[in-house]
Amino acid sequence: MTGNGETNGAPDERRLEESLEDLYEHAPCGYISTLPDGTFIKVNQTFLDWTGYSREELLAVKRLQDVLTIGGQIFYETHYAPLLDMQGFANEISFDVFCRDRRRMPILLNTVQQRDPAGNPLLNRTIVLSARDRRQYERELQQARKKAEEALDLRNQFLSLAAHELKTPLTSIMGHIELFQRRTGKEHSLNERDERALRTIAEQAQRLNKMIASLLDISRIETGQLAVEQVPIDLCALVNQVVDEVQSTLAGRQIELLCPIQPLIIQGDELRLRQVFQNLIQNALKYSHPDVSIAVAIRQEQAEALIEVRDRGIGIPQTAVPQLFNRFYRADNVDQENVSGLGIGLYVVKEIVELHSGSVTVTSTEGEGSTFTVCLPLDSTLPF
Amino acid sequence: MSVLKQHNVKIAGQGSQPMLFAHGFGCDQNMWRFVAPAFADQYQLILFDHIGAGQSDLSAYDPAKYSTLDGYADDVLAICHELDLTNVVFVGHSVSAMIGVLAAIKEPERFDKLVLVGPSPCYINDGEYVGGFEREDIDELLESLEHNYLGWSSMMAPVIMGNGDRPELGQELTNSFCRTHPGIARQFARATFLSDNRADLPKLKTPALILQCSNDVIAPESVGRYLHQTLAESSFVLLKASGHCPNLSAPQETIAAMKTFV
Repeated sequence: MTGNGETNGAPDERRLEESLEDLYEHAPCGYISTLPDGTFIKVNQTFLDWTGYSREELLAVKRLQDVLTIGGQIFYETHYAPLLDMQGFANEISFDVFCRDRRRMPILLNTVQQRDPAGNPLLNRTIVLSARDRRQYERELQQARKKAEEALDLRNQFLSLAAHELKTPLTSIMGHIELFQRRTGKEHSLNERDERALRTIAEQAQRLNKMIASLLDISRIETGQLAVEQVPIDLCALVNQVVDEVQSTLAGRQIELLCPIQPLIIQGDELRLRQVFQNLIQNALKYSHPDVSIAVAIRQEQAEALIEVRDRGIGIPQTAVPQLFNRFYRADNVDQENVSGLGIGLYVVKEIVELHSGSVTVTSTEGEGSTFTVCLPLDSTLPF
Repeated sequence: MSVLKQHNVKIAGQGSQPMLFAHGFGCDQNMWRFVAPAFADQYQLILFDHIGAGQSDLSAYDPAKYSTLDGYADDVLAICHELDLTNVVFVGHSVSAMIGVLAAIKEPERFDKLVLVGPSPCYINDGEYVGGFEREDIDELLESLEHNYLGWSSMMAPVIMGNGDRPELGQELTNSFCRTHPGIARQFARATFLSDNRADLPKLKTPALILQCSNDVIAPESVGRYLHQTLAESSFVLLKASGHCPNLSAPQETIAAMKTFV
């Protein structure tokens, strides 16, 4: 408008003053003032237009909760009023108002409580927004969430059922392979080629068995049924054992172990923790070159035991680190065709460690290697 | 985790007789912050959160256990056992009034007196009995909960309370005190509003004070009077305070009424 000359006599936009009174009455939201007990003492025209009430029908006669649905009244008394009393405000509260013609109007309200200098509530000031579209959207959102939850439940049930069903025949197969191996071994009745074939069958059945066991673990975790024992365990002894066991299956590959002499006692589940360290060590072997060694180190830091598993393997891309412990996740620098896995191991590791009130973290440089660190609280009933 | 930790049990006060405060549906132990301190010099104050509310251990929530008020009553007793409480003055608000009644029926030897703030043995109308609600009303509440918790769950970060005018509240986290996991709130609402413990009332031998609010839509005066008639050893006080939470809206009146009884 700058540069335009004054126009005499015509209404001047710049002088058009906003009237506070008009703003209050016809604002695009409802204004309500009530006593602390909810009794209306002032409302604006917008609220009256929306609901069809006259001032006389509301002021000093009705309380805010009187025009709410009964469900809303309960919420008012159990949540909204206590919130106001406790903190002096309540935001984004969702109610349905009964209009004069008994139509229901979805609203959203924010309230602040005015108090005297001694802190006693004087009145509540509320703005009211119409929430019809938002409510519709919320309803759809709720339904979508319910559907997603149901689908998740169904998936978990299926997972559990499938794993159990797969396990039954496999257990029988494995039992018979073992018997067969033992018998033919005693009788020397198989030629070398058949013996090799039988060994392969046994190994692959073992592999299948492990995968099914991890599926069962997943389904236990998802349904909150993975439980850990709490008995005193010496971590040094446990990690030593695991390293020895894995080492014995390796031809010409070294696992370096650095371990304090004195025991480090924690409260935990030996079988489950064994699973954690086996998994981390086997991962380290799996994702690094067969010629380089991996290192396992245990140390105490204040009231915690730290177990580090370090490899000089392919490493993990930075973008993959945050998702690494998620179920079914596999980093995309893994040669998916030649390095098998379901993306379950680290997820189970994390769950087990957390059930021990511990944590597992990873630092990694792609192409140089990764270090996984498990941190477990030492048994606080023992002196450190 | 220990029972005390699971329930976020807080102990205060200089007295020896225990006064155990139980909060109602929708809130947590902060409900008692204007009332409990008035008894600190003469009682040992014990406050806790029901599992699912406040700072309780959510992982201890068991839907089957908490599908009825009995599960909650067992928790009250578990706290009594853990702290080896006897001669307890139990103060229960709203649904926790009935939870206290159930606990005192199970182990009467532990309880000295019950203070029932806004109690109701049955919220649903049934023949002659006027509880105040129809079954459909409760479905509507569940819907109301869903919409409100939807808005709240996305902003779980607690709000620092503006406390200029109420310094006694201190700089602390609120908003969370009315926040329960939506699924748990739903289940608690069901357990609460669909409960009917009228048949248990005659079994109560512990003296009880009924604190009845004026204009309480959740526990109407007729319900308070019904309780007074049915409970053998009960006193009845009609408060001037309106609404359902006199412990928050009219703490002084609530304290005064309690002091004449305990």
